[in-house]
Formats: sequence, C-alpha cells, structure tokens
Amino acid sequence: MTEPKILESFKKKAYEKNIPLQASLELTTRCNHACNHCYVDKNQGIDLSFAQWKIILEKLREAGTLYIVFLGGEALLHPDFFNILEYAHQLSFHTSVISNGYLIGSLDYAKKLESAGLDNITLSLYSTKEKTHDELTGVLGSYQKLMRAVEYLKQTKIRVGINTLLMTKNIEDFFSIYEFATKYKFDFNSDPVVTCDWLGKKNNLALRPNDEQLKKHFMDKVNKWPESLSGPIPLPLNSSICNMARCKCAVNHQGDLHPCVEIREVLGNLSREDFQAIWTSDLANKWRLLENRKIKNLFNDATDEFLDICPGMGLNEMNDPLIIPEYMKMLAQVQKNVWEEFRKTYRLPFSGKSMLPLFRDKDELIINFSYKSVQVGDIVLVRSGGELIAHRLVETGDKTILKGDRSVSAEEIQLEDILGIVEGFIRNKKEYKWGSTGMLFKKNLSDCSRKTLRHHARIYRRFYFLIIFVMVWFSVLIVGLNNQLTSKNHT
Amino acid sequence: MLSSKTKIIRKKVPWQELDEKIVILSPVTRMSHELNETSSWIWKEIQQEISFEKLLGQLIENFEVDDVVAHQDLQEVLMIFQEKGLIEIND
Repeated sequence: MTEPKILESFKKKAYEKNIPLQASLELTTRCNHACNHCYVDKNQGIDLSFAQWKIILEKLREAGTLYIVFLGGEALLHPDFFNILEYAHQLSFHTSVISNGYLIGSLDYAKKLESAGLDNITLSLYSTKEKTHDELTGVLGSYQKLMRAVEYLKQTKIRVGINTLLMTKNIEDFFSIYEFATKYKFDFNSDPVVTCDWLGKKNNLALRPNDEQLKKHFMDKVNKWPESLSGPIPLPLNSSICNMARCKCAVNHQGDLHPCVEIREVLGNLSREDFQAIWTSDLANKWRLLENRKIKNLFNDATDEFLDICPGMGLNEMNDPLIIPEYMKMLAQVQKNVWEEFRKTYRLPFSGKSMLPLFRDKDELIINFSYKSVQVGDIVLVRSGGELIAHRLVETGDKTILKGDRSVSAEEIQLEDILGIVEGFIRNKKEYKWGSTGMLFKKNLSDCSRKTLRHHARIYRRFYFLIIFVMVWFSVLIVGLNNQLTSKNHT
Repeated sequence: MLSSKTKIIRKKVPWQELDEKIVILSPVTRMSHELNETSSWIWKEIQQEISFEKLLGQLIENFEVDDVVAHQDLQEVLMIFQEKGLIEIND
C-alpha cells in the first residue's frame, strides 16, 4: 500500500471505531502575547501538574491516540512542559506543539525540545513585516523573537511549520509569508477564519477579512497555483458533520475532555474518570451523531458544496451548533464564485515539444480540475520540478506512468500527484475538446506512445512516431469535428 | 548475518496499534509504515531491548514454525526495521 493510503486506511478505521487518533492538550491558558484575535479565555484557574498529565497521557495511549498536539495559551509556559513532552515521547506518541516561539531563546532550548522528543512545532507568524506582526501579537519585539526561534529550530531535526491566521490587516502578506516558509523548507498553512472566543465575546470578529479581500486572495492564489483551486465537495446530508468525538478530542488545562478544541462542553474529566466511560456516554454520542441534514441554514443549492461547517463555531458564535455563522456562508459564496470564474477563464499556456504533434507552442490547454477518475490515454497535469507538465497517462495499476507523445522516456508518478485532466486546447482562437467518442482514440495513441520508449529499436520507435503523427494530424485537421475532437471558435 | 548474541533495540518512534495492525511513523523516512500481523508481533516483542536468540525462540514458539524459516524471516524483518530507522542492531 502506498504511504498516503496507509494513513488514510488507518484514519478510516479510527473514524469507524471512534478512536481519538489526535488529542489536543491545552496545557495552560496563560500566554505571553496579547493577540486581539485570540479565542482563548486566558488565566483561568490552576493548570494540571505533571503527575496528572501522566495519567491522562496513559489513558489516551490506551484509547488508541497516536498524535498529541500541545497548545495553550502558550504551551511552553507550563512549568513542567519538558517533563510532559518527554513522557509523551516515551509513550510513543507523535508530538507537536503550537507556539509563538517567544521562549525559544537559545540553541540549547531548541536542542532540549529535540532531545525531549518533539517531532513538530508550528509557529504562528502573522506577517513578514515586523511592525504588522508585533501589532497583531500586541507585543513589541515578538517578531524578532520569532525569527530568533526560527534560526535555532533550523539547527534541529524538529519539523517546523508556519501557521498564519489571515485577517484584514495581514491577508495581503500571504505570499511573502509563503515565500518565507518555502525558503526554509517549512510546512505552511493559512486560515482566513478568526473564531470568536469561548465565552461568546465577538470583539475579535471585526478582524476578519471582508469579501473583497477574500476574493482577491483566492484569485491570486489560484492564478499562481491552479492546483490550489478548491472545487465543490459533496455534502452528504446523512453523514456526520465532522470527526469531533470520533478521531479527535481535546483536553483542557484542568483535565476536562471535550469533543474537539472548539466545542467547550465538558464530557467528563480525564484526570479522574475512565476514558471509555466518558467517550461512550450519551453526551459524547450526541456530538458525534450530529448530521448535516440537521443544519438549519444551508443554502440548499450548489453553494453548500463549498461550505466548511464547524458546529463549534456555530455554538460559540450563534449559540447553536446547527447554525452556520454568516461569515462562513460568505466564505463559501466567495470560493464558489472564484471556482466558477477561474474555470471559465483559466488556460494553461503550453510550451515545449514533448507532446508534438498534438500540442504546439502557444497552444492553451483547457484543464478539468474537478475530475473524478483518470484512464490510460488521458493527458494529465502534474507539477514536476516546480513546473506544470501535461503528459499522457500510458499506464495505471501497480504503477502510474506518464509520457510525452514525442518523448522516448517516461516518468512514474503517484495518482495523487495528478492535478487535473486536459480536456482540450485552444489554437489560433479555435477551441478543440475531446468528445465522448474520443476514448478509443486516446487509448490507441497511448499504446503507440508506449511503443516509442527508448528501450525499443530505433526503427520501431520511428514507425510508431509516424503513426502518432498521422493519427493526430488526421483527427485535428480532417476528422476532428466529428469523432476525435470537437472544435468551436474561441473568442 | 545476525548472531544469537545480537541485541535488538527498539528506537523511540511514534506508533500505535489498531485492529492488531501497527502503524509506525518513521523519523528517518518521514513516512508511515504498516506492519502485517507477524511484523506487528515482532515489534511488540522487542519492547525496549531483546537478544536475537530470545526473540527467535519466542517467534518459533508462538507461530510454530520451522527453525530455519523463522531465522530467515526474522532476520529479514529486522533488516527492514533497521533500514527504516526503527531499530538499532548491536552485535
């Protein structure tokens, strides 16, 4: 089984059996930053001790948890952070921490994190402009401290990620933050959703980007990376809304177990009670069995397929987990508009000779990014060496092999690497698309293309190049309108 | 070739068991690996450290297999574990 399929299969089983594969542990509500966008209710009560966290970690291990995410507040502020981390590592958890990096003030500290067994750290970076970052954290000098942390962490084997919450003040810094993360080969994630705090105070929601900013952001993104285009995802009405209380859970700084980080209803206390008793309770089931069909304000049209539904957000912002906040509905509408506009207008300029005689320089390819499956003969789009390549699929099954029609070499890829299928092309303002009868043609072309691989004798390869040339020339110029390709004038 | 005195030491890597199958996240390859039933059993038997001789004896007893086949198979599994950065082998 390929590596992505191993984890996918494992996660699927965990979902079916309600195994909390991931547990988010909020070690403390204390923080050394003063971010206006933060949803955490700070400085609430006494944090659990190391001894108490040991009990909780053992229970989670027994329950089947693999991933532990430490967060806060600022998790590194917990006085027993290193002991807790080391114990989690001893229990064979994969450990991550989300941090502002402020306390990582020396190489020794970073190395201590590494030797205590930390696998991942996600740093919150709001801008590559020092002033903007400091304004958003409310702490002067926080940007410099974060950059210092980056320099030290780079010298360890800890995997580093950058997380950016996109707000009205920093959404335009997205690409510079991305370049920063890429420069250091860090993972990068961004999110345009400021969530209201756990007590329902909504002051921070004014920081959310508006619809114009969001539309520009998504359009800029897909123009730079067409594969980032988010297409519709069916919303099965009889399915559970999300995987809360199934393969994830959260434990707060006092040991209370929640279905997830967002839902603050307490299911039980893990420092005192048995995990399974809490996890199989009616209260836990109530959350886990919430279904899409119970949501009260769906669009009831295709826009629903762009919704990102979070009952926690509904509960905190609207006092009802089954009501989608207006911001999320607006976000779905923006993404749908971007999707529709981009698909109509996006054309991939083609250059090179590897797909001659079918594609020539200055042709523009029409791509279907929301394909459901691929077949031998399809021309597919992949990203290779930083460039987008459109080559023909000549083999699927045990191996997935791509090849340019004019190339003598082939390349093996993973099915997951395919970004889209080429549906047709535009040449001299005329559009050509494969009709439904074109499949046999494409398969024959694919067979001929395989026969031109380098390991065959030259005369054999030449013969099949000639066949390809004749087939394509014939279809485009002569038969094209009927069987193989349909064309229309493109303005 | 592993000898009876060879020590097998399991590295501290993230792993978890579900339905008698083990998934391990290898820090060396940064990939996940799923172990079949026999490999999962071997992984759990190693615990922290065990001698090759003891592990082989337990394998033969538990799976009721031929000595020679067990020796070969165990060696192969341990070589794969070592290649993926999951164990250390000390002679």
